[in-house]
Amino acid sequence: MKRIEEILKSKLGGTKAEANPSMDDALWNKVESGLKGSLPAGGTAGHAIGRTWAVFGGVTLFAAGVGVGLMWDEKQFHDPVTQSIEATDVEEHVRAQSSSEAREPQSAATFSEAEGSSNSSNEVEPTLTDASHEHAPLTSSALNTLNNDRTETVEREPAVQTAMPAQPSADAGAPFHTQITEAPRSREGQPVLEPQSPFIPPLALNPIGISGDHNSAEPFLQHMNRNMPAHARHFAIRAFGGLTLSQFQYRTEDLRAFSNRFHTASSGGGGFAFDFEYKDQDWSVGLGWLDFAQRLEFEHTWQTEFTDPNGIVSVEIDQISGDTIAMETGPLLVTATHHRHVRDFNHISAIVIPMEWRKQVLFSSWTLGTGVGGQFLIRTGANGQSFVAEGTLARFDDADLPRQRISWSPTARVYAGYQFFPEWQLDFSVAAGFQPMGSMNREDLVNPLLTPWEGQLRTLQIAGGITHFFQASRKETNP
Amino acid sequence: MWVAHDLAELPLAVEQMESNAVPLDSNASLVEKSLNGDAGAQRGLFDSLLPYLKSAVRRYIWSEDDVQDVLQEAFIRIFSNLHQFDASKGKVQTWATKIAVNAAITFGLKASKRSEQILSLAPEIQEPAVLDQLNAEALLSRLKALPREQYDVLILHAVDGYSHDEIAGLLNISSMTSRKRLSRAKQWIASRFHVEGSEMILKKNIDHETD
Repeated sequence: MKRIEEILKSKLGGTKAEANPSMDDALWNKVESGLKGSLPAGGTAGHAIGRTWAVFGGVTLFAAGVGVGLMWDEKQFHDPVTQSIEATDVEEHVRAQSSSEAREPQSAATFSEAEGSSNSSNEVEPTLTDASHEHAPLTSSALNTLNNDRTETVEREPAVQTAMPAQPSADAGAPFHTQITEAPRSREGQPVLEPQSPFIPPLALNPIGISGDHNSAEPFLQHMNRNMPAHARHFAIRAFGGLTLSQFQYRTEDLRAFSNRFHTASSGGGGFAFDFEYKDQDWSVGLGWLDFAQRLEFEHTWQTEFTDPNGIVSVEIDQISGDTIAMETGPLLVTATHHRHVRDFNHISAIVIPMEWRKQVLFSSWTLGTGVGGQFLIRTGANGQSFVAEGTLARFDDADLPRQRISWSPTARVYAGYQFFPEWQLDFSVAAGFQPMGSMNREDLVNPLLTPWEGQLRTLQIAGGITHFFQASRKETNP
Repeated sequence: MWVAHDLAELPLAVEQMESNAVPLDSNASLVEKSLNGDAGAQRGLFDSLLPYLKSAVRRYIWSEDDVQDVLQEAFIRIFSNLHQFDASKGKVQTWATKIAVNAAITFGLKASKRSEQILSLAPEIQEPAVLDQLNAEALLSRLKALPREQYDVLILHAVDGYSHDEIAGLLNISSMTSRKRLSRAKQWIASRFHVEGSEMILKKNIDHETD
């Protein structure tokens, strides 16, 4: 019977079909168009294209997050009251606006009256001047109200002062107050309002520049935007890196029993995040790269039987001398027990775009917070082994995983930070999440030995990092 | 306790077992140039592999139109995964043939008119006046009279070198079923062919009955 196989292999194996130039050319054209330019022009095809799109997508999303955070609130700029004070010095009207914001619940009626009066008579300055005098002491009380949320009283005035645009020297060291310079008046004594400028000055990122005796980034952390100059926005850029822990579980019914062969293993990763405030909420969007590893370890024992034709059946030994007197050999049924210990690691790596909504509290220089959201994972590579049957494994790599490389992993994070310098903070965080991980369908698998599977990866990220705080302010420019 | 004589012979894992030797591969340089974007090398690699892959696919796909479709799919897979080819594990022709065979089997599993293919494509066999030799084409034509499931297992195992575990995974059957089908196929051949030396000769007293 073996002969038949040998003959078939010698006759049929390695044969070459005849060439058909026209059909072969047509086939090549189809192959080329099927690949659609993914034939490599330098470097590997699939990985180069995948990584290029992954990086492009990640950078685009990261830039979009930055753009949302830097978005200017147009409504404030075109508020009727604001319009009326644009005629004054920029620095002065900003202080008035911020103080009015601090008193917003109490002064709503005042502003509405001012709005009405300004619309009808353009007599802005008298109203505003009155408001400003009222605001000075009230601003302090408003600030004190906000202080109630903190466990430690912090001197706000210096922080607020230095976070604002440069002030005249006369104001140095003075508590937060409103200064309104008189608007130019016409011959009739009515204020002459300069035409509203539609030009919006550009944003500039500046370090917060908090004075040396005050070491809290409170303006960023305590939604001080309401009390700050209207055009000030606070942001932070955070660099993080650390360990990833992950564990894999099969979801395919036939393979579920083998899930306990996969154990948690550690790998690493890192990246950057952009923390910003939007709609009075704290948000974060980032870009990074993570690798997840799982340890495949198990012991497999099995038995086989075979017949040893020359096994020792019996031995006769002289009990006195110990010499072998006789020995009988013959066929023996042998049961062999085999034992093997398998230890290997599966890896999956991805570019990650984390996005989260954050909530945090301050205790002195410490920050404690939580983040809820998730991360887009753009798979960049994978390799490892998967079960086919009991004790039997087959290798897989990135080509055996779905062509759709993007997946979503919900995550929850807790973090703590210590501000060791006015604009710098050390961070520590722990984030947990899960993501799907499965193979292609059977007909698409590159390795035909694999059994298609669906599974879930449970991940834990322990990271340390450093945060730098920024303030974005609009520079005064002439249109 | 007796210990098995040769542990290396026992199946430890279902993996693609490739020769440890590093064979001389004339296509190796074409592979390297193809990965670097050399269009000429890519076409050269295609031309070099096509005759072997066409022959391999024709063993499983009997409609020429389908052969072209399968070859197109196979070459797309080959070029898409060319970066994964490891020259230390064997020749690119062997690796590419395996991909082509997998594509052919997958295509065949999806085909719904296999029985019609067997009946319609079984060629006329010109029985030689002196039955002392069958060429490859004639032999293959004769073997296509086998039941399809036995034919696939026979060709995969005897010609393309797949193990029963590999065949089981490919055809979604058990390895025991694969062994049974191979055994039946060999019995069918033994009943219809004489094996003399290295040749299989059709038995004169077997008519061209339908199987």
